[in-house]
Amino acid sequence: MGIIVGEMIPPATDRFFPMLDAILVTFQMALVGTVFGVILSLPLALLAAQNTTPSAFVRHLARGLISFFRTVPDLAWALFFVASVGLGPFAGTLALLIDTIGFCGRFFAETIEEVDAGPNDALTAIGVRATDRIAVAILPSALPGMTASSLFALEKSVRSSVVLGLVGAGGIGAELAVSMEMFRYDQAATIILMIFILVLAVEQLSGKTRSTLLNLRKTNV
Amino acid sequence: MYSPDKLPGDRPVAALNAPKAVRVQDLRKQFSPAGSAIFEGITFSIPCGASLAIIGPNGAGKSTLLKCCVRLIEPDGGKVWIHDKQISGLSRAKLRRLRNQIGFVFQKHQLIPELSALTNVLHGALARGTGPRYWFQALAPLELRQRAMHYLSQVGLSDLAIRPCSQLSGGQSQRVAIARALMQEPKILLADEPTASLDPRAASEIMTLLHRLTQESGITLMFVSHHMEHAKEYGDHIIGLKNRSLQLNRPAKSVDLRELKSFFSETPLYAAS
Ligand SMILES: Nc1ncnc2c1ncn2[C@@H]1O[C@H](COP(=O)(O)OP(=O)(O)O)[C@@H](O)[C@H]1O
Ligand SMILES: [Mg+2]
Repeated sequence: MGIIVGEMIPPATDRFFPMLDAILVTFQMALVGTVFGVILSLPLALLAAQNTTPSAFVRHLARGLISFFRTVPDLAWALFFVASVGLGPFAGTLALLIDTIGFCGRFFAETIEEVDAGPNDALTAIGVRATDRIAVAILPSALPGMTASSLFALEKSVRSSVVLGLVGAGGIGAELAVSMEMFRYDQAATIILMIFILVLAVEQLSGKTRSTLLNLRKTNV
Repeated sequence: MYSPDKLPGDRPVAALNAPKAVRVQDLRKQFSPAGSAIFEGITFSIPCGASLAIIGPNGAGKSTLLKCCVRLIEPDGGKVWIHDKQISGLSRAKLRRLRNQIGFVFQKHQLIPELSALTNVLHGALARGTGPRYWFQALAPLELRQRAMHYLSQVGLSDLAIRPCSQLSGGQSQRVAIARALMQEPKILLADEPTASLDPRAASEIMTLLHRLTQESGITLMFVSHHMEHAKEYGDHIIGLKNRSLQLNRPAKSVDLRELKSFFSETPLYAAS
């Protein structure tokens, strides 16, 4: 192991630009997968939450689907999509999308269930329709919590998108696998550094956004 | 026409054949099948445009009674008519339409804290329409926004229209809740201890406002109060719930304050828990 670390220094720069391309693909996979995952999570969470579901049967169905998406590991989803849509970033994006639904579906539903029932009940008392009540009495109160969950989901996706490349689902992971197999540990070192910078940048950005949101909320209370 | 005022010594509130906004007959509610009823044999009525005060100790079932009138809680016996229409057989859609006609103000204002006062008032109109134009003031057409502003100014809050409700005081919030109820343009307004969480001065202000605005618009008012002074001042008629039954059912004019106060003290409080 000492030898490997020794060979990593100094990191190689010969494939810098292809690597940069690859890590951008990784980031795009994470971003697109998370955004579409978040969009699809919302209706599913509304069906799964006790206070917004149309019926107990639908609720169990939605919860079951979300649990299934969450408990199957993202690597397994990646293998499944590589097999069904072929090698490349599309497979990785789909895997991250499903993984995001598993994560956000659950936390969105929990946030929705935690919303104060009073205002919603007050509108029920005057015969307001369920869709209108969800739009005005549930979602505005759940929005800050759901935004925070979405940002966590993005961080999570960026981290797992690296690994997905190892099974051929696109992005920097493939570069890393090739470098390792060809014993180019100096190249691997560059890749690992790039991953480190990307993950750190996304975490910093999402952390900043979350605390800004939290402060906004505090000034409103 | 049917006159339900059966207790001895009672006189009907208005003319015997005045149309009734709410008529309740022999109402009974019990929460657990094994236990005893919260109340039974409740019979009273309110003429259109009048106001009715409901008094009684904690746990007597006043809130339950109000909720039974719009089937937010299903009664276990007896009948309720709203504007001569019996409500027990209504389908879900018809029940929703009935509730659209009936405003409800609660002890806690139940506004949406993240949204502005104006938007919360606008939501009263959701009882008459549906869709994004009723959701947020920014999406509402001018006519709706102006109506909401009108009701906000009626409760004296035009200056705070765009303030989030989380930043309003208890009294201000309750005013917004009243403006929201007026925006609904209901025929009947139910108010469940609308002033219970306010200090005495704000409480009187809110009751005065509620009474004046409902009178002006010809809205029938049915309110629960712990304040005997309020019950007598703002109610045309007072009913008292105690020991599972209606023990007082009289025009406010014919009851004096001492009598009302002793209503609470002469027998041990009934409180199921
Ligand atoms: N949903 C419910 N399930 C069981 N018991 C209830 C329920 N709602 C109210 N009760 C009971 O019914 C009684 C009357 O309650 P309530 O109508 O709130 O009284 P009040 O408004 O006069 O104080 C109380 O003893 C309360 O515990
Ligand atoms: Mg009560």
